[in-house]
Order: sequence, then structure tokens, then C-alpha cells
Amino acid sequence: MRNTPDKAIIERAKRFEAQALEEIFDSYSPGIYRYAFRLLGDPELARECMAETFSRFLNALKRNGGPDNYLQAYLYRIAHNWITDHYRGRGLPAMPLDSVILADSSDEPGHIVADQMSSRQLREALALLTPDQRQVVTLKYLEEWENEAIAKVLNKPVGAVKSLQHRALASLRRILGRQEENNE
Amino acid sequence: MTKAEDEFGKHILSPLKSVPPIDPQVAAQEKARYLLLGEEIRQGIVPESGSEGMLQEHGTMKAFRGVHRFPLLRGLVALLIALIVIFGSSLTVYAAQGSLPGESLYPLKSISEDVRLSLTRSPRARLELTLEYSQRRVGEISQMLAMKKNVPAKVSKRLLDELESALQIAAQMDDRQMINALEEIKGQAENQGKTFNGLIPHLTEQNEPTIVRLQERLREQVKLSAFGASDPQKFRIEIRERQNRRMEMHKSNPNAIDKTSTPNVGFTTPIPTEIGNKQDRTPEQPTQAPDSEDDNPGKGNPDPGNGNNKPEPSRTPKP
Repeated sequence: MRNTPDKAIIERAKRFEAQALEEIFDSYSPGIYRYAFRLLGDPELARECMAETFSRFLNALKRNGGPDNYLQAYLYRIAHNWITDHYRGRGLPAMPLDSVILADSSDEPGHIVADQMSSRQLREALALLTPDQRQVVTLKYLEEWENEAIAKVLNKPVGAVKSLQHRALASLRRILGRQEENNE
Repeated sequence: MTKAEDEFGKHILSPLKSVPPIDPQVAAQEKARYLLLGEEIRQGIVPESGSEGMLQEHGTMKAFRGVHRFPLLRGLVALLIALIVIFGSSLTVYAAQGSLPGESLYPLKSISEDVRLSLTRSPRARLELTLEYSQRRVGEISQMLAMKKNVPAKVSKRLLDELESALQIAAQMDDRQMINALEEIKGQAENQGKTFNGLIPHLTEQNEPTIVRLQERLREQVKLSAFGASDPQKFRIEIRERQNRRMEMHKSNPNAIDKTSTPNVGFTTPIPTEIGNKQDRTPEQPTQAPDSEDDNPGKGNPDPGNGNNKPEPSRTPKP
């Protein structure tokens, strides 16, 4: 997990130096793609989110905007906003079966179906959280970020991040519990 | 946060941990798009105003998206871009380089040229590529004429754009480099004009206006190059004005071929009379040879004209 100050490379990116732009893409695009896939469950949407994140980043630089520091936090914020807009606009996507098989092809077929259900339920549950709660639990438990780094993405103090984690997990318990009751 | 809560969070979200890796071709394609957009912004090709959607549709990006409507081409383009990104420019000649306009692989040839040009930064290298590509266009047109095929408007437009682009790149250089570059541009334009002259017997009725137009433009290229060598500052102003006119025209009709830059019409800054008169030939006349009497066009004319009274810019805008 990288979240060191990135002033030098950001300065070069603001001059649109191709090498700096390439380094940024190579460093962060795999993580943004994973982040988007985990929340969206669809490779095409994850790709769209990744492409849009970097496109918005360039356009922000063009308007003399963009980050002054902590590039990774900035990029994840863009991706998070894109995903939130997607949830609002289109609802939660269904996960294609191919992706599940690709995701863990070593599993027994029965487990794959179980994981697929579980993944879908989880994504539905995550979609019901507030955007901040969703981002906190995703970055914390899936991307394994430290609270300090998450705080930079959210522009909130660490204490607020911990509080969001607590509330997010409580909400997840409730939502998943209700889902289980409905399934029984 | 307690440890138990953390354990619960990790456990409950663990099914989402596993993510299939992104297709390397897709990743390379997105990377190429991103770098192209960055390069377009750096060069100021992407307009200042407009929505992000417009920005994405601009220039080369538009070409990519157009190709993506065709699944087969999409795959080929993805592969090509992946090769370009992964292996560098030496493999950009990998696909379709011998194809002619109208053939199925020709779009790949155009895109590979766009990609390579967009990833090239130094003005000198960009100029060399631009001249190489314009020579390719002349070769393609020659082949099509020899085969009595119609030359598509897109190809002649591309050649016109490349001729203009060569001048714009030269205008970004310092005086000494620019004069050398303009000599090169002039020499190539003269040779290309001769090539077209040699093709006149092969002209069909349909192709004649296109070739006449290209000959006119090549004569203008020779004239502008000579003008630039004699007066670099006024040349830069002229190129900037031409660029502005083209942008205005593009706004009103994005598909229009630039017809405003013909000799005697498009020059904002009057060309020195000596040069202008000597090169005012009818379209049927051959383009002047490199060793003609105009090799030193500014000689004996210290005041080439005062038609443009705008203050000299500190720096010529990038194309």
C-alpha cells in the first residue's frame, strides 16, 4: 500500500510528461481495476471505471486541478465517486458467471455457485451502505489499507474513519442477517 | 474498533478478495488511450472548453472508438496497441503497413501512425515521422492512380493535414533548427509535386480535382518553407494564423477539407513579392525543382510586407 507524498511525480504529470503519466498508470491502474471489480463484479464495468478514473485525472490536471499530494488517495476518490454514481444511476450489476469461474477456477462447482451467491449478496449489501461506509470497509478489509491512508482518501480524521468502520460493519451484519432470513 | 470486529470484516468480505486479472490487451489498450489523451492535452489539441465526454471523443480517441464499433477490428486494434505499448515503436510496422486505402487493414495503418506520432515527443522526431507519413500518402495515392482507382477524400485530407503539421512542428523550433527543417520540408514537397506531375497521364476524371488540389498545396508548401527560411518570425505568425483559421473552420464543419490555404488566398502575412510571383504558377505547371532560382527566397527583399501588425508572440503556440 503506497501513500507517500507524490509531489515530484505529480509535478511532472502536471506538465504531461509521458513518462510520468505512464508511471502513474502502471503503478495505480491494477489497484483501481481490482477495487472497481470488487465492488461492481463486472470486468467491463471495472475497466470502464479504471479508464474513466485516469481520464478524469488528466482532465483535472488540464484544468490546473488534481492532487497536490497523495496521488493514490486522489485516484481512489475518483474511482469511488464513479462507482457511487454508477450505483445511483443503474443499480447493482449482476455478476457474470464467467467472471466467477475466472476468479477461482480451482474451486469445486458447488463452491463456485456458493461463492457467486455470496459475492452477489455482499455487493448488494455493500451497495446499501453509505458511500463513505462502503469506501472505508472496502479499503480496509479488501485493499488492506491502514486507517491513516483511508483518512486521506476520505479527507477525514482517523477517528472518523474508525467510527465509519464500526457503523459499516454493524450495518453489514444487519443487512446480511436480513438477507439470510429472506433466503430461509 | 475491536479485534473481533476487524476479524469479522475480513471474514465477511473475503469472498470479494479474489479478482480475475485484467486482460493484458485491454490494459494495454486503456493505457494507450490514456497516454494519447495526455499527449493531446499536452499539445493543446484537446479544446479548452467542453465536457469530459467531448474531450474523450476528440482526435485520435475518436478514431479508436470508431473502430471499436467493429468487433474484428476492435480485437486487431487492441492487439496492435498492446504490441505498440509493450514492445515499442519498432513493432508499429508490424501490421498493415503495406495496405492501401479501402483495404480492410488500412485503418490499422492509420491508427498505428497516430499512436506512434502521439507517443513521440521531440519536435525533430515528430517532424521526421510526419514527413515519412506524408511520403507514404503520396506513395499510396500514386499506387491508386496507377491502378486507376479513386483516391478517397480521407487520404488526400490526411496528406493535407500532414503537410500542415510539418510546418507547425517546424514553427516550434528555434530559428536555426527551423530553417533546416523548412529546407527539408521544401525539398520533399518539391519531389512530391514532381511525383504527381508524373502521374498526370494516369489521372481519371474523378481523381483530377484531388490531384490538382494537392499540387496546389504542395506548391504552397514550397512557398511557405522558403518564406519561413527568409523570415522566421513572420513565418511563425503566418503558421499560427493558419492554425487559427483551420480551427475555426473545423468548428463550423469538422469534416471539411481546408480550402482556404491555397496560394494567394490563405497567407495572412504577405509573402515577399519575389517569391510569390515566381511561384504563382497554374496548377498544370510543374512544381519548382530544388535547384531552381528561388533557393534564397528572401534575398534582396528586406521588407517582405507589413500586412500583419499584430505584436510578435513570445512563443508560438503548440499545434
